[in-house]
Amino acid sequence: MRQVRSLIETTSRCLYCQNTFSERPGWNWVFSFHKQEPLCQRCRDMFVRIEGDVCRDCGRPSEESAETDTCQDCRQWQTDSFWESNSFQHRALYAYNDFMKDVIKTLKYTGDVALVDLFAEDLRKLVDKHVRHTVAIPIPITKKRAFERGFNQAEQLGRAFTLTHALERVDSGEQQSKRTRKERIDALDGAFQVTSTLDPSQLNNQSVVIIDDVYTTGATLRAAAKPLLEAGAARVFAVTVARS
Amino acid sequence: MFGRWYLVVLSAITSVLLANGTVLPALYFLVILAFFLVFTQMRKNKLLWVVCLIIGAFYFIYAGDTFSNNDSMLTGEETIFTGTVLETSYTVNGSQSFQLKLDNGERLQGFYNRADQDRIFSEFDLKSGDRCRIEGRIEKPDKTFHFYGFDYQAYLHQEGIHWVLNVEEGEQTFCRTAETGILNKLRRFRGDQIERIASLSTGEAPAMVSALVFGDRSFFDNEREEQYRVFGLIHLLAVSGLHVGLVTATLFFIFIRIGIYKQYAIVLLVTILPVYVMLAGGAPSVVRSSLMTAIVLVLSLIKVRLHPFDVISFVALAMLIADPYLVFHLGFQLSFFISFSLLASNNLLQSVHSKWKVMLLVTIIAQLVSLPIILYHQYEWSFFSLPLNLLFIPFISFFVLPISFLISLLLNISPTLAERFIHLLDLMLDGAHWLFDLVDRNFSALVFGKPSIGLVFLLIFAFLISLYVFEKYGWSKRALLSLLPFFLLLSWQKISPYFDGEGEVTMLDVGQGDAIYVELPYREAIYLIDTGGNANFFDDDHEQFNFEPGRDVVLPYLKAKGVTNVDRLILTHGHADHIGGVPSLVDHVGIERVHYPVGGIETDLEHDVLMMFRERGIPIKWTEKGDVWEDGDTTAYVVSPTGKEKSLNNRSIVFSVELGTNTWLFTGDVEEEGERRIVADYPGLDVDILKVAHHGSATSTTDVLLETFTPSYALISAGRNNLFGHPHDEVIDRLYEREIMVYRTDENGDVRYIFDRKNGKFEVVVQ
Repeated sequence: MRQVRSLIETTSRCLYCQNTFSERPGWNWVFSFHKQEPLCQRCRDMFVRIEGDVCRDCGRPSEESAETDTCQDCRQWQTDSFWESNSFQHRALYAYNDFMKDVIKTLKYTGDVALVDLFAEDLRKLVDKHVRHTVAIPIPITKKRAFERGFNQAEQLGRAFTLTHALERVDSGEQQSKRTRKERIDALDGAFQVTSTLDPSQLNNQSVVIIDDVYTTGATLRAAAKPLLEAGAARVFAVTVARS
Repeated sequence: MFGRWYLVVLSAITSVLLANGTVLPALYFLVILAFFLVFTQMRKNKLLWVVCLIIGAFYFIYAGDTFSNNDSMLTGEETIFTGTVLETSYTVNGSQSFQLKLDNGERLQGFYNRADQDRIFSEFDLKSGDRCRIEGRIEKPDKTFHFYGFDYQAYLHQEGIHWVLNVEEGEQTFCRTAETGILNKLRRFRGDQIERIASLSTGEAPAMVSALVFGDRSFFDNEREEQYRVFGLIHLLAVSGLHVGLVTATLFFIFIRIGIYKQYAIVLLVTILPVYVMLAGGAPSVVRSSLMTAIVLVLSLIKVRLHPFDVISFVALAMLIADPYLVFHLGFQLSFFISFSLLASNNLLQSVHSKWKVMLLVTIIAQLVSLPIILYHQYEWSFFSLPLNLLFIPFISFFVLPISFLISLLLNISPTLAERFIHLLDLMLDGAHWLFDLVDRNFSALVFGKPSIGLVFLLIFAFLISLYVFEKYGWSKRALLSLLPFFLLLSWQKISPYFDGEGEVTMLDVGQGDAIYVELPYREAIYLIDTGGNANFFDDDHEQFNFEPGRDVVLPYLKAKGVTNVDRLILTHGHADHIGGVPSLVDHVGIERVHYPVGGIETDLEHDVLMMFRERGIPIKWTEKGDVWEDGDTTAYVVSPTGKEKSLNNRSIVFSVELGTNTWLFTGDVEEEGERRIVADYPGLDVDILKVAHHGSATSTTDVLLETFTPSYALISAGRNNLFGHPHDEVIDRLYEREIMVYRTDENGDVRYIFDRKNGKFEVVVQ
């Protein structure tokens, strides 16, 4: 009976809100060159894509200052002698709004890995637009966290890349999301290191892509980028699903 | 499967076409279906494959069965026919047509002379729904004798009609008014209403009202209808979604206002819709839109959601079950295809916000999407299609249509008021049609010629892809660029003859007369040798002729070929059956120069025709023996007249030209006297293909000509059952004795010779 019903009834279920929905009839539907839209219209509208002018370095949407191409944050980072001379760039797909926070939460903490399908391809496209990378590295999580969660979200998000596990976590205490900006930056110095099994020449003079779920202050990603740059990488390009 | 049933429709259409043996279009549909099933994301949908296959197979068997059962049970010898009159309508030439459904279920297409109606039916006024016993003879409907011609026999066959009934006076003929059956009553009511409307005024309004309300277009003046067609406005004259929507919305509004619950209002509407379909004439477009409306209403009642694509697809599948022949029906094709395209353009239409822009977009999409199909059927398209549509869609929908409905209602309440309104409508239409005539006089339509079916599919596909790009990228450079293939293909249709190394000589079947179309390879030049024509052209008002070869044969052929300019119009001599078609052509085709034989002008007709050229500044080359003209690699040698011949016939331009590997001799109507002189002057001329002079009259094509020039093929242009008995048996004998292959228009219809540098072959319409 279900087979018969499926002949005329919709079978699309929104990947996020789980409601059934029907795509609006259009030429996109007629030709179906693309996969069926995974989200219902309501959910799709909640995702806010970052577009237009952004900070050259961290990808922050520039609202007030079009006269400078880097934002206040990044200029502050550049007062650090290391970041003054090393190239770090970041871009994110979406704005980290309340809806996005829920999406990431669902993905990470309730283990709804299927949501990764919403982003994996787009992340790859975003990277391809900016760099011709040679090495793609997911941000690692601690063993403890990996055990709790069962998967590394960064690794999942990097599905569309050929991943090299070149980083590992030096064990720290608290969860990053429960700290202030200052605390985060301080705590993170030396939180990552290049894995000992990696052949260092693999990084030498390469453009490296690092992948994570969210960019808040940029501290984590810069902390991860630092050992890579020190190991000889020419530049590091970070990509995330959302940024605040 | 949800929202994918349109693919099943494609599969069903493919099957129906295959079952009919129409292989080529079936193949194109199959390619499109395969494209969807293989190259898009739908390839993963196994269920879709299976359903397409099963339903396709079902339609193949079902349609095949229907087609093979579409046969007559009559022998052709019967003289008395008993049945029910289905529909009656006027035809332009003073005859009345009707359909008679025999008691065995078979239908006949009947005709009788309107003037004889009272005598034939003993003062009985024949109407739809009447029971009749009729005396008459039945014959097979006419086949077409023309390339690109309208095959009446095939058309009636698809309607399930195999015989034309010519009603004759007879004692057995008897009719009575049917009293039973709601269907018959409805038919009768419709017929009555149409007749009453027709009697309201002598202007153009009654034709419009009966077209818009009752779907009967037979009162339209042919030329007026042609204008609507060329301007791409013909869809406005067909009852379609717009009308059904208006009727439904109005009724619904009334029902709600008088306090009927919404559910009951819907039920009521759904029961009324079939009645409306009947009254509106039951054309495929009415059935389509009414069924769709009914389905949507019922779905809203039982709260089931269906994809709009599926609704239209189910309706198409159902209609194809009811009548698989609908696949070939232009109205069916356009109605479904345009509706589907507009449904699919929903997102695109929502991206513009002003109502006017939406209307503009709807018009453009509907026009361009149907353009390839329109071109396939009428070969030309007017630039004014778009602006006129923008003007006329609101004009017809907001003014003419409501007034038409009002008139039909008032007809039964207050005839005087109805008359007032019809005069108002007359005035409005006069204004509108004044605009038509103005545009028609001053601008000619773009003649593309008949595109191949393959090109039609490519054009449609290119445009749909372009719509997809517009939907995806908005009004961007990329989107505009995506229109390029469509317009390139369209231009290709126009310019491809200039890259085609094949030329042709086509002797058109103009009845008793001559008209020969010559196209050189790479379209280096186009000749038209004579135009056909009715005798005594100028004696009567020429609109009186039901058949005028120039207008009805030569011009359509030129249009089908995409020809707007003739390089040489060679008028062999001044008889009406050779130059009578000139007036129909001279304002619709560019003529570079006219060849006319030397030797003076004898008749008024000649004078009038030549004056037409002079008034339009078309140069006339007085042509005589010894003249030579060249076009590209082709040279023509004129061997006659000298100008001293006594009769017009003998003064015909006779010329020889080598086309491909063969030498032709075009002879006009030259007779023995002329032939003897030509043979004497050109004894060494070797002719391969001879246009037999003077329609095969025994006074031409003498033994000496055949002995000297030794042609292998002979072409004769003569009317079927002509008064002169052309071609004469003697001539046929002379040709057969010498084993000359004969093609003749009275038997073969149009005769075409296609050639290139190395080869040539004949093809005919009727073997």
